[in-house]
Amino acid sequence: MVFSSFVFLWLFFPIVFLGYYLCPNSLKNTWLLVGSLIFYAWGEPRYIILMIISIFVNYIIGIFIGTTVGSKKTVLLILGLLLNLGLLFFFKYFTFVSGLIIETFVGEAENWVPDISLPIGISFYTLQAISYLVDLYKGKYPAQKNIISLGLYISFFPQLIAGPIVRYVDINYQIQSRKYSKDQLIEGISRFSYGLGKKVILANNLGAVVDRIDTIGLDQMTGGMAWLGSICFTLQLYYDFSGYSDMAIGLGKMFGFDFKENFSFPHLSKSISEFWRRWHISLGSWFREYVYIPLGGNRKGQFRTSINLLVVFAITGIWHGANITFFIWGIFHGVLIVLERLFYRDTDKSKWNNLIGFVYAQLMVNFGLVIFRNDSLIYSLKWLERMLLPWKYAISDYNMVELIRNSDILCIIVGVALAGPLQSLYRKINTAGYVSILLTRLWQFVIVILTILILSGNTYNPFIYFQF
Amino acid sequence: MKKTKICVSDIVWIICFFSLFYIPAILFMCCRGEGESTENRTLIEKPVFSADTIDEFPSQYSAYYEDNIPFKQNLVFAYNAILFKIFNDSGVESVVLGNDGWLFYNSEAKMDGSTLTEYKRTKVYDEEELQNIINNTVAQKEYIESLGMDFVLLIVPNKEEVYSQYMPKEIKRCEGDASCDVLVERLKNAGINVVYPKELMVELAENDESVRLYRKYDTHWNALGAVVATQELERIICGKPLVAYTSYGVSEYSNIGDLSKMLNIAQLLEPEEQYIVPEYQLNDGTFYEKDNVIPKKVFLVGDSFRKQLGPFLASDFQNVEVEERSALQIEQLINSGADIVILEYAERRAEKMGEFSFQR
Repeated sequence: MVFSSFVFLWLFFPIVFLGYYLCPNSLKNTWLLVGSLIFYAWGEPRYIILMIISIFVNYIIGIFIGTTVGSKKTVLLILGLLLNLGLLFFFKYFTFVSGLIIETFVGEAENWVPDISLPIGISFYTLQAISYLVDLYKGKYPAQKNIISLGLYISFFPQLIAGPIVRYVDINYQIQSRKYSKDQLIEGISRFSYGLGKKVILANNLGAVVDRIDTIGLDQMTGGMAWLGSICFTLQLYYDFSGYSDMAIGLGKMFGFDFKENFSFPHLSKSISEFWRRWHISLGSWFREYVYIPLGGNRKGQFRTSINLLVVFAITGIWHGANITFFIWGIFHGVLIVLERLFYRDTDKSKWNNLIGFVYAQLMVNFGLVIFRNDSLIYSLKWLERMLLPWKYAISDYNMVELIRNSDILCIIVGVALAGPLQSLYRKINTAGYVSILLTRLWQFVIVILTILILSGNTYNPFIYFQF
Repeated sequence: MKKTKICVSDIVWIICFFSLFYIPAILFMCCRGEGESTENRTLIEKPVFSADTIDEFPSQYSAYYEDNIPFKQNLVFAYNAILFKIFNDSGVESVVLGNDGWLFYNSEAKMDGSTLTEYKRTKVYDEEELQNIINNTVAQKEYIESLGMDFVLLIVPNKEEVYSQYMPKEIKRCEGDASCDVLVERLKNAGINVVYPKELMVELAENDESVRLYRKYDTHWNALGAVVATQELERIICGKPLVAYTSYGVSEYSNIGDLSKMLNIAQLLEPEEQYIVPEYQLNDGTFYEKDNVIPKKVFLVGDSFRKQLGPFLASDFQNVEVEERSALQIEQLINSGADIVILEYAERRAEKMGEFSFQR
């Protein structure tokens, strides 16, 4: 189930929200866990078993880690890591890796490789489970003895399928006891409205432009179209992902939880290092805490730091998907960050330095996302070639305006403005007044209405003749 | 005082926000599926939950829910109206907004033949496809002739070809031959009697804008378009046309057409004139009889364009029988005793001619 669907908005959410506030406090977590499991099962009925197994396994290993000392504790941690990573590897990477091996050594892999579908959210809840076990091992908190509480931590539906990746240390007290306030509810409504709007109004429309450009094929793609497609995809990904995070944070607040921020205007960054401090913050901090620092971080000299960074970004890349393009994308970012550490310091705040840094960072992010988006590296490189050598690709059977609707142009303008510039301006305006609050709420109301209209339009599939 | 105001507004805001989710949820329970759908498809039925259907149930229920959300038609109307009025965009991929209020069909979006690719001149038949269509059409012709009947092929030009001046300028038209022109030429060379009145219609459409041959909000021709086709058929069959399009007047005004229905915003469109058609009411299989006209029996086999064409043929030929292509039974054709069989195809589906057979 996705947030931007009628089944969620007009069925699941109203029932779960109403039930939650009607429940006595002692049953609220159970209600949320049941709701989360239904939410999960709705997308992947078969894999609900996997989710339940994951909860049980981590609960039991957690209990043992909490009551054991010495080398046995380490063995238990390793066992827990192997089980979590093993499941992730099997469901996410086995098909890809076995395909690569068979193709390399045998030839045609199609008939040999099993087609294993990816359980929804496994990349997210695996990292959450690992963080629970590792921090438990480090003695940051006692083992969770209530399986409902641990189950809720692993499967809580707002952040289950697209993050933010919540660490147990940040949320364990909230799972036990939450405070509810009108202000928190209103803040949740606000975040959810904005997130829904980002996803449905901006990301979906921008994505449609990219799809149209992609559909005409590389042969027909001019340099201008390649740029338009890559810019739209950059904006689409940002609004899709940050919109989902906003909805998750908003829903969390409506249920009394406070999740950490996941995005902080990444497209205002002036370096790739800064980009990763602003983009998918929960993932970046997870990899820093559980991979980069255990590898030695920056404490073992320049060379080792560079290797560590490359390793972390290679894993970050492959975490996004089982394809060589994600790996290359991760390495591309890793190399840029290593080079920035060696040759570039973003401490010079001069206007020119800021401008150059901004242009460089946005271009690199944009180029990287061309690789990120496409399944084939060759295809991505050809796309990039069209962007970099536009004069060689000026002829097409399509006009660029053919591929973009008037409303899409507005989406692009609004998308660029809301990626940071407008908010910078907005901060300078006094927003504390009554009229300002009223206008903000009216705006949020309009956003939700618009998303409902757009979602209705998406469900409309007319045919010219009656289809039986 | 100020604090109280803000608190009241907080409560009002919370109620307003949640009403957007709870009111539809309640309405779904009491009035789901009410209102007429303009989607021309069977709406999804409520799935039954069982152990056997557990994998499909969520997606089926989601589809059912989306098909039956309360006030769906009104919501879709509002969405399409905003896109249409504010942005001049079409909310339905298969409908293209043309100039001066004209609507066109993007049949490729529904995998329903070729309109835009044909208009853009990017549709090209390869030799194998051409040969397949020609061979099959020649085979159909020979079969009809073996029954002692004459065979005429009528290809109805795409509206996008005839009224290309109203197509949006954004859609690039490349240089090169239209694939249907190439096909028609090859069919004629193979000895097929082909009527493809594109050139004539384009000329009429360009020279006299007051005479409309196709409907603005519909994929089909109107009565006058059918008259022009009838004239061309008569030119082939008996050397000269009988009907004159200038004798038909306006009967009513309407903004309803298959394209405006798909777009679901018909009421926002300016009504266009509908032309009077002959007295005959067409039903497939109806046998028309009339004296003092061309003493021939005609059997028309076609698609939806046949509905306008049939009455005009019936006004000039002694006997006319009409049938839809997919419903045709060969016995019906043999028993008709027709002198001429007209096989009608819309241009956008011309490539399907390679698959058609009278003898199914």
